[in-house]
Amino acid sequence: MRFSLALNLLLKNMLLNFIIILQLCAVFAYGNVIVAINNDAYDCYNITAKFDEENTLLYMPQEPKLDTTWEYDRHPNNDNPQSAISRYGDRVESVKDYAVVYEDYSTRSYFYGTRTAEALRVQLKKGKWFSNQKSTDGIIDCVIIGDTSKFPIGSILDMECYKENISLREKFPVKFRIIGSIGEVAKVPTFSASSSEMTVDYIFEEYRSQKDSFIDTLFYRGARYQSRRDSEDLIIIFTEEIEGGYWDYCNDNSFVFLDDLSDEEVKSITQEMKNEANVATMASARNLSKKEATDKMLVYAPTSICFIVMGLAGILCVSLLNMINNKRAFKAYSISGMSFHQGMRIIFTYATMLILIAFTLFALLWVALIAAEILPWDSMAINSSNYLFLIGIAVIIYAVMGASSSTLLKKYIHNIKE
Amino acid sequence: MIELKNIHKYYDYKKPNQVEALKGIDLTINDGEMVAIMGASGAGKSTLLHIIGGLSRFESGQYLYNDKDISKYGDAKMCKFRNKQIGIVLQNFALIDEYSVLFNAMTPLFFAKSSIIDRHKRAVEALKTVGIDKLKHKSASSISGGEKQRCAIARAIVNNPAVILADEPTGQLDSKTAKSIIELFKTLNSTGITVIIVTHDHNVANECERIITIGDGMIIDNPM
Repeated sequence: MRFSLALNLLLKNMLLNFIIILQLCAVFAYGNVIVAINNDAYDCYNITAKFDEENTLLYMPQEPKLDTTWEYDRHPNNDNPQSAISRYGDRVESVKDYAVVYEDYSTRSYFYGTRTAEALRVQLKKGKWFSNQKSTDGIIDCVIIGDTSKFPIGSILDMECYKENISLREKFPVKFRIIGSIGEVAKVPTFSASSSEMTVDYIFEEYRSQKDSFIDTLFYRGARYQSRRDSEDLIIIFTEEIEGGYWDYCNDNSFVFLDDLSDEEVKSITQEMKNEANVATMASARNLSKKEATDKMLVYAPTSICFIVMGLAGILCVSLLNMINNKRAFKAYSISGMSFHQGMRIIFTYATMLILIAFTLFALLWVALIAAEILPWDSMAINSSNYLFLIGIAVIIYAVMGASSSTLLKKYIHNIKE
Repeated sequence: MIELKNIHKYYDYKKPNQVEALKGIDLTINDGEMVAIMGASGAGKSTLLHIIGGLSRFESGQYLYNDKDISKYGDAKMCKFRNKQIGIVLQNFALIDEYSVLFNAMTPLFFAKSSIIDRHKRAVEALKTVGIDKLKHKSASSISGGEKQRCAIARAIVNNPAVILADEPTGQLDSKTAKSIIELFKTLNSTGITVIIVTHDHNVANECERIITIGDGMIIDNPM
């Protein structure tokens, strides 16, 4: 019943309905681009949400020279940063790069300390993040960035690791079990950059799988740039040490966890560290990141507000016009035994049809824009916020159509003779 | 059987401009009767008809339909009652002009849990009964006034109601067409359907078994 009568509403005023469908389609497309930009802006901020902000320090004994990409100035009081910071024991965790190789693939590895791994809220595309339990079979759990069709979840990677004395060029076998995948585009905390006024984005590097399956670094110090490194085929992340394996710090920067100390002790250690390195709290880095993201989104605010207002006004107008155009139909239905609730169900079914058609058109448009490389799909941060946005828009459409239609419907039902 | 007991109906109830449209109506209409309700404009005829059809509510009194108290029905139950028991025909036909005659005739079946095939079959039968089945694919806007009223009657009878309520059904028709419409009502009445017609037209009223006269919201004359 509802479907037939709602379909009649749709077919009766085709031009009007076509206009609103196009309008909804434009709202879906524009909104999704804005949500994706927002996701991207808040990406690193969200990944670091589980850190104890005030009691996690970012220890950065070196700072990049402003005029170059790869050269650093070391802090004048700090000739040997790792040695200097080792006095804080296991409160300090740096990102390590083990010298692992895998067949003919170009591989890069990142080792995180347990506290770092626990505090990161990485959005996985497949599988799971690390648990506290170590594997008992000697196989090291890892999360990858790469093509899961080539490197499926659950598969074992038979790799080799150079021995501690790397000058001998001797390797030994080491097995990794893939437990999760961050996807083919991922931001990874490498802590390779630093600054005294840093946003949390500085901690991350972005890797992106190219069409030929190679992974490039595209994001560094909060900015995109062309990679100067060799492309990688596979990035592996793990949290268990490889006994006897060669490793190096990715850099000298470190996370310092002070969550079990008093405020006074935290202050004292911070002051001490500031003599030999740039030091920031995770809170200050995240706040700067949030401010940067908010500023970025504010740029889009005027056009977004215009779009929302126009969209809502359009839906409201079409809804009212539709009810006025169908006055006789609803009166005829009322004479025939339609209740108010049945009438509203017809209207909501009609709204659902509009939304579904608009959504289908939007999906086709989206795919076409990606195919034409107008939208950079690979680097667009599509996540649950986009789905929530679409659901939110649908709810708003239902609410606006419901509220505007119900008043007129009641009037039509109660004034049959007019 | 329809029994109305001491029905009071107000417009703009409890507002300063409150109007009492029906002032204690007592009325009984037996099954299978053909009744005309007459009266001057504003006397309360249409209001009474709308109450009988469940289109309007009243402030006090009791409405018994086959001994069931209809006045206590909620919106959904009242609509179901109207859909199953009552067929309504209005002066302005209340058809959906853009849709076909067939679609207009089958409208009540959309609210009666009827399948597509059943809807089609029963609507065609109803159109045959009123003699316009050949026009079923025409749009309602393209047929004559008499045909429109026949279409409205087909819609009224498609769900086999026990009662047909007609509010000035010949008001927009010429005398010849009006006569044929009244004949159609008489034919339907002969099959056992109760027909209640609100009219200004004495010729139409005289075709009915009983004429009830209303004036100023009260029954002035009701010969039994």
